[in-house]
Amino acid sequence: MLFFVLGAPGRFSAWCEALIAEMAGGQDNPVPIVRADTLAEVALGALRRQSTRFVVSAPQPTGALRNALVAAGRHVVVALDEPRAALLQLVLRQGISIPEAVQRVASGCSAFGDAFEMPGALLLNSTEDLPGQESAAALIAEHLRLSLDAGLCTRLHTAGFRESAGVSSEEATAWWSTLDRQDQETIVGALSRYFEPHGDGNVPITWTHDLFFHGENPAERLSGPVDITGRPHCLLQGPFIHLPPGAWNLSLSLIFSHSAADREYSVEIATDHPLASGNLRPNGFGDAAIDLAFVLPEETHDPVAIRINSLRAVFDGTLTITGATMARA
Amino acid sequence: MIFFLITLPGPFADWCSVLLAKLAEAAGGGVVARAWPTTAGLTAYAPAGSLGTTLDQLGQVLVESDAEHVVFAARQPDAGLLRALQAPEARFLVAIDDPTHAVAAIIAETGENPKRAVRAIANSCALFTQFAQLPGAMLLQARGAAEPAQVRQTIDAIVAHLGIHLTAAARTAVAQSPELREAAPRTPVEAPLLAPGIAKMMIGALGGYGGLFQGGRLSDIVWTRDLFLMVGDRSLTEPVELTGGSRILVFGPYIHLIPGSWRAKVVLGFSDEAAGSVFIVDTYADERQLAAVSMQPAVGGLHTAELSFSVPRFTSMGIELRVHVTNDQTKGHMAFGQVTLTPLSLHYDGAEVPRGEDFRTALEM
Repeated sequence: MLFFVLGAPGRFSAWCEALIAEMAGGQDNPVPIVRADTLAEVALGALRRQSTRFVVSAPQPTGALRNALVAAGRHVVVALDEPRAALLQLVLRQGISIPEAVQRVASGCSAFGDAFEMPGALLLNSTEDLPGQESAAALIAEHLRLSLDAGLCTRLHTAGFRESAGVSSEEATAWWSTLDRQDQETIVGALSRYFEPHGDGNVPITWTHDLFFHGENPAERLSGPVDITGRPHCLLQGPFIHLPPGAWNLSLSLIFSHSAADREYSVEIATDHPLASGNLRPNGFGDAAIDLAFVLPEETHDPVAIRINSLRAVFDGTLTITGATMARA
Repeated sequence: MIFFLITLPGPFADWCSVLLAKLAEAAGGGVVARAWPTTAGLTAYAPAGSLGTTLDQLGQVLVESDAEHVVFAARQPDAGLLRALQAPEARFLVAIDDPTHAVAAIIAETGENPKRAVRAIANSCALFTQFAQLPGAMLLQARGAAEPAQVRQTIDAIVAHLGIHLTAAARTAVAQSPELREAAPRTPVEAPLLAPGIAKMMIGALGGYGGLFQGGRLSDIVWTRDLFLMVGDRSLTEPVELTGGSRILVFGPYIHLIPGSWRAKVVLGFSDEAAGSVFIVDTYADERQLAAVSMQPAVGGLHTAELSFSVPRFTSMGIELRVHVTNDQTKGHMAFGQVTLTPLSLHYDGAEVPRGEDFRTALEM
């Protein structure tokens, strides 16, 4: 039997997964925890272990996996961690860079944002359910029809969540004060929409320059303005972050250097398939912007990528993204 | 446990699925069995993956069922599954039956259009061979494996290959189970019982695989005109009218071939009025041209166009071959004969050539 824990990466979802693994297999023989966001990854997990008994950890479940779970009437646990806590955990405890941590947390939150509802799901929230670990454990056990033995309850009481070191509010405040304005804008722009669990769905999302990647090397993050010299090519792409499905308006603002301004560029937005595109021709030195409307289907598998391409050879020049802002249409 | 069966559809495949389900059941725990794609999915003219991948389907079964064991018969395996089963620890079965039996079974079971049935099985055959060569594959031959005297031996071999812990008594019980006896493959519908045109199409497209499946080599494959299409879904049994301007005259059959180098001989007949006109024959895979040749018959009669091309691994829609007429003023008729495909160098062993080795071979270093 598979046990599904859906939830943005963080301490709370990890705690839920470990708890279920132990409830299902016992303290000495907890069932494995397998990361799988797609149906194919669930299958691969089963094939590699030659087992159909494990916990599926799905921090960014695709629409197809979620639909399959709902259609099958599966009881799943959705562990909603507070995005700031998840970010702090990734940056301060796991040493992950701010842009990468933002990318992971934002993608995870997107799957559960905007009035998330899922039949068969037990929704647990770290801020509400974490303090009462035993009652949260009891809820999980009842929902998944697992037994919660007395020994596990005792261990939860005596050690429990404190075993994985969290980040205190003092440490978090001190860390925030050390960040430069650019990093703070990156975090707030991409994550503030998700700060309130059932908050205002109208809060826009803004992706800043350092969340993007080089056009011809999507493994390399941008640092500073993009040199656009060369034949027509993809200048930059990213941020490869999931968004909640539905209709969106992208407002992309850029700054071009003087020599780059008198050129034409194409801008496209895509996931598994192209969603929208348009051409951009800055007028003189300075700012330029383009608006694109697009609809993200429920079944989307890949994260959102914005690509900017030069359409003619360029001998000199740079461009910088000042912000890619997504607002609900 | 996941029991993977790579198979063509048909009675032998069904028997293998029942056998695996019985073995899984004997090992303890519930069992769910699934064959995918369905016959309708298998015979559709749809790009590979458009119905979902094999791993997606297995994932779907795992989400739907709490069974301890899954028996999954993959009838049109794909690239994702090949990668998964290339893992050193992977163990699976490949059920080998005469492909013409599989076509006959589809036609008998569903009344499916023979062209679609032949195309579906030809597609499966090309994909199938790549799995049969993997180290984790155990080949089960229809001739032998399911015969009553051999069943117990077959079970012992499967149990050893898959690492199932079963006592001798449990194996005997499986061998004697009524469900397995009931699923025993009946005498298949033999090709000669089918209409001559259908039998020719089937043997041409699939007969070449017979030797390969018996441990020999792949011989020539022949795509008869029945497998091809014309605009307006007209029949190719009649000559094609050439008047009407530059256009594609014939296209198809969207059938997968084993990756590697191939030579195609396309036999075309032209009426005297068509002499002097230029025709192009080309092949495509996933909208990428693999080869093209032009021909200008000087006189009417039979002519052959030859193309050499390389088939990439796992094309989405299989191979497309097209015949175009390029002159707007062309008159007369063209008859489409057949396409004979000769394998020159195939990569069906699943082994990757180490970087540099191909250069050494090419340069005879």
